[in-house]
Amino acid sequence: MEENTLSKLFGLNEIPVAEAHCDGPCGVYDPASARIAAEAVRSMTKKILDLTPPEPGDTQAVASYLNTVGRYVAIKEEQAELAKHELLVLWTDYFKPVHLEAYPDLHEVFWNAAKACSECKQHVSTDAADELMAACEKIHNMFWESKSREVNYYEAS
Amino acid sequence: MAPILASDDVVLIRKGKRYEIGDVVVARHPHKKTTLIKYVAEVDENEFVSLSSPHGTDSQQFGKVPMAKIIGIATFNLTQRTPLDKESTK
Repeated sequence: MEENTLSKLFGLNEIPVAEAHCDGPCGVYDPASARIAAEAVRSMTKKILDLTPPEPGDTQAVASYLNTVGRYVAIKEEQAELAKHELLVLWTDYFKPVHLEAYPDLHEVFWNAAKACSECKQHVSTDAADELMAACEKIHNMFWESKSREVNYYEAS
Repeated sequence: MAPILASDDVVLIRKGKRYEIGDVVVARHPHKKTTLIKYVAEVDENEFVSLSSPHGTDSQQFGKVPMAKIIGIATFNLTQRTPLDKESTK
């Protein structure tokens, strides 16, 4: 029966809507977004370390170097923050208490992953970047297993 | 709330005084201006209702709902032509 007819039948202007799934924009969750940001963090970390510092007296070269490092650091910072945000959304909005049965260390994994994001901001460290990537892989596995789906973990870079 | 409810399904509801585990109820969100349709998971002694949704957000995210916020019990899915009582939706 057409909705117009239906609403008239019940003396309504329109049929009221009730949210069955989520009470807001439907969250489509995928740990890939955190992993992509983490890859960017690792990539920028490497790029910074690969730069050759200029001769201190060469004003133009120094300016150019600082400009490049500045931009690389800005991206590293932004992507580390994005990774942290994406991870926290998975932790707070996707995973439920019932998941703790299968993954008793769930909170700790996310806590350490978020800390790895901070570590990557505070330092220019490939070890910290690798730790963040490892956390993303662990979370990828927990996530897809919790959905009973086999999704291969892959890196874009 | 698939498969018993699909997007845009129209359901009939009846007002209730008591709610039981397994009832599909329509309720006002405890702190947002929106309406929900979920299962009753539990009713505590202070008449706060825990709502559950197998794959969506529920009381685990938004907490218990005072009974006064429950608008009614969904009885029939008009669109799918299926009943929504406890026995049918188990």
